Amino acid sequence: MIGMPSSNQIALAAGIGFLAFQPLAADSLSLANDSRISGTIRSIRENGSLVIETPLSTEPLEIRGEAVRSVSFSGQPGEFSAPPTRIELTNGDVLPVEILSMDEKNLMAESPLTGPLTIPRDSIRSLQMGMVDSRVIYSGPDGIEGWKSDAGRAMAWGFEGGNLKITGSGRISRNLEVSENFIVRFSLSWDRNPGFHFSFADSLQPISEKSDRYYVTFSSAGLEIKRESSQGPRYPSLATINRGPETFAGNKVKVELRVDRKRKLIYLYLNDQFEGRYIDPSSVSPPDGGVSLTSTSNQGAEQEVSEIELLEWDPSGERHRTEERGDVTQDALIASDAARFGGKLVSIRPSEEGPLFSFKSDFGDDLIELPESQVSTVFFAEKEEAEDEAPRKPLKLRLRGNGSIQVDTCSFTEDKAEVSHPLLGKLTLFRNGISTLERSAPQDQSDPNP
Amino acid sequence: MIRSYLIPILAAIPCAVLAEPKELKPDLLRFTNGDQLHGFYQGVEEGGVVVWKRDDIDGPVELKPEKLRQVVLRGGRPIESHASLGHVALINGDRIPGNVTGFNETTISIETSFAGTLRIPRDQVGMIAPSPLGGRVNYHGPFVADEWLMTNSSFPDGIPAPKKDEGDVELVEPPDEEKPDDLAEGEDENAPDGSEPPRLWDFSGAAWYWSHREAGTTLVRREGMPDRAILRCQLAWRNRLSLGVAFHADFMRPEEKKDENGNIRRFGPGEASAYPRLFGNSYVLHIYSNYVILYRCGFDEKDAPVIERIQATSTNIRLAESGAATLELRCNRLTGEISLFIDDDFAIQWSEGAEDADGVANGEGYAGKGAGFGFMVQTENSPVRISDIVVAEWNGMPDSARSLQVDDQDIILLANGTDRFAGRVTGYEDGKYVLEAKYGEFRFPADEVAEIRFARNKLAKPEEFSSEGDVQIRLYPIGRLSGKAVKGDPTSITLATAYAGEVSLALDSAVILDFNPSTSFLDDWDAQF
Repeated sequence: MIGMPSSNQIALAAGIGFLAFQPLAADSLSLANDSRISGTIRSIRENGSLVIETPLSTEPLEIRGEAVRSVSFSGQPGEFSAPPTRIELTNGDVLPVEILSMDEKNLMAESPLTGPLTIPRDSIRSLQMGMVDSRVIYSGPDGIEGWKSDAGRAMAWGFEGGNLKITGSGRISRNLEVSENFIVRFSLSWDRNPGFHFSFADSLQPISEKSDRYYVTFSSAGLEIKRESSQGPRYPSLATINRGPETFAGNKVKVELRVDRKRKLIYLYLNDQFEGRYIDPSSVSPPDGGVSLTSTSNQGAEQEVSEIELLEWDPSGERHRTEERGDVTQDALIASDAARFGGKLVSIRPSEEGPLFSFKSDFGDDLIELPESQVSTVFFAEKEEAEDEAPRKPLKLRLRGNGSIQVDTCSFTEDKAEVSHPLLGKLTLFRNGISTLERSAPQDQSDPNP
Repeated sequence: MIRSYLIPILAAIPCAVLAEPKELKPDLLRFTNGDQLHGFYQGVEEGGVVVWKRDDIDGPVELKPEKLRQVVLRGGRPIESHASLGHVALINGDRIPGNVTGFNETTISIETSFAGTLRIPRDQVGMIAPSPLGGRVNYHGPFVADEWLMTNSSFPDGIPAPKKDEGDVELVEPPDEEKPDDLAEGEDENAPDGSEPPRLWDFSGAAWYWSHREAGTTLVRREGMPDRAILRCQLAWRNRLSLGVAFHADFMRPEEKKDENGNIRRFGPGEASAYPRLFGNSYVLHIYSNYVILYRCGFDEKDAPVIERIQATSTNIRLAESGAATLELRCNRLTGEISLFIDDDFAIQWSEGAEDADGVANGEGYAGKGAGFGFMVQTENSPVRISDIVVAEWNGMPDSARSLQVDDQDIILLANGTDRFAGRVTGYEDGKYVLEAKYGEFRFPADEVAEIRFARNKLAKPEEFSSEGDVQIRLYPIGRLSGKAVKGDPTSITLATAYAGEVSLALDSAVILDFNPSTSFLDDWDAQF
């Protein structure tokens, strides 16, 4: 039976851990060597092994943690609104929270994943404020309306099953009011060899005329980001990513481009993984906001585009989060206007404007007081005597709101997960706040299932 | 040969001739037509006339300033140099080394070692830099040639010094000079295989020039780059640009192996394959006019040279058509990050080295094992000029100055490389700069300040001040003052400056006097200079 561990590895569920015998929808477990098993996750033991109840086995299976690649939970997502602040703990875990207050010892917060939280100050590495969902400029597609084909050409694209779909070649475009800096993302799927252009910041001039726009192309040769410029060299290439269609599982790829037109930078993400940062060497960025989809595939080849989104984007927060830490013996605060101070974050207290940060700089006599809305990032001083780094836990829970925590043990009920966290102790999470469970360390290459 | 624009002077005409200078390298005078004259600078007289002395000419010589390009004093060596790189940068491009002693709404006072205290209108000061780059500058130049070494594939430890004439550029004798045992008749010891003698870089006026048709000679310094380093330079070129810039080079190489015929393979000039032998374990950034290639260089376990082109998703760059640019490499051996900036704008980034379990680069596998750096032109007929070379420790913060790009506020960047404040600098008290910011009042000790950049919209316009006919005095290791030459002797000069009136400055730290500063480096390409 696929994924069946040896008998020595199976422990009786009744004698171990914190099992609850509530019927749950099927979770999906991905194992090494492309094995897969579905069932209901019951617990994660202290040794990192997972206990899963599956109709395939008479007894719950206990699978060694290092054999598990990932788990997708099947629970209904329900309503979830991520708060705007992320706490990064000293072990790298990230929690989306709303900050309430902070004193010398603890930070008090509220999280939709856990309810009230009290976090020891010396367990915090950083705070990232302003992680709000960007304003959506466009989200679709929800039909073919609003999309236009080139003048004099028949509409080759259609709308089916929530996707824009085309068989063969053709182009459609749409004009949008886009902010100076924006994020554009879409998913592309194909049945044979893809041939696809996606243009953005497009003036939507006819292709035969010189114009200013960016576009990303994807074909069997890989992916390329290019600039079309009405001045100077017409088609300078900004980036060439040597990843062909065969490198994307399921003939599908999610593309995200973050465009900083002021600094002429484009950030590329493929399937939510950061690929690179690229500069537009032209003197001026394209000023417009149109987008177009062009299929260059042969007759009979199908392509579909879905989950198209354009959002406003503030790139400054991105820069602040990745700044050099600097002097680790001090706290550091980066304001939203990019000023940066070293010193000590004395406290956070409630105020009419929201949480008020009080910071003592080495160079000022008075406290600097800023409302949370004017704070971008806070780095906390590191402990003088660094403790020995705790061994990484083999499993990590991905939380909604871009959070993640490593766990010692975990048990699940219908709507909750009880975890033991190395820094925060016993935590109860709402199960609908957990998106996946995955390995947080490189996998053992040996066959876990002899 | 001295042309007709020289005015022969009778010995009886009085002039400010002083006693012979001490035993120093002679001065060099370069003319606008390419002529040059060694001798001794004697000063300036009314009308900007330069007085010159030469042993084979009776009496001093008076020279018309409009015919002069440049005087290089003492072979580019100062009598004494400033201890610190702290300086004040003016809107006309002048940089005055010294310490700020006074500061108010209208005037900034600077105490200098060469001109006493200068009082400058505040709106003509673009920046105060008490501790540029946080005081972590390891090299700034070039001001003298013998701080550098030239190598090629035949002489990887240093090309032997050529025959020396008075005032010629002198190379450092390499410690492990390769000398052929016996030379055949007509064979040059610098070209043991009978080929042309190696071409050398030319040093002139605080810049290195490559003006030869052939390529293949490196210009290197073996030290200077810390683990986290900035390498910055001004680059100018003619025709096609093809320049290799080596960094974090250790210049180490295994003993060369002979082939089956007993010969050692010599690489031809400009071959990229020669990089490992020339630079050792290193990176070499090969810069073309509109793209770059980064190479990883070293040797494998069999001591065979290895040169790997590092894939990048983008290699395009934009270099100005003017044929000049500022290049800045930021390289972090600890994390493997390498970034290229051109004219202060980000161009390309590479990530070298391994990653830890968290996916964070940790620098293992970083190919550059040393602290050296260097340059090599890689193609024929590709003249270049390299100047204003700075090597400093990089704090890792890429864009701290540009993070606070404001036109209507002063910006203070601290020497720790991360902290930055915006507001209005109101004064200087008890050794501290006072800043009124929206977050309150701050006081910064001068030694904790890297730079103060003043609000651009509060500065005077440079074009309001004519610089025609100005002489520019270059100081060592940093500094430039410009003005109309009023008078002077071998040890001092008085300039009428646009910002501080008449300024008399001692020439002990001066290395170059530019009489007709050329904005076109093409004027310096005359091989006769």
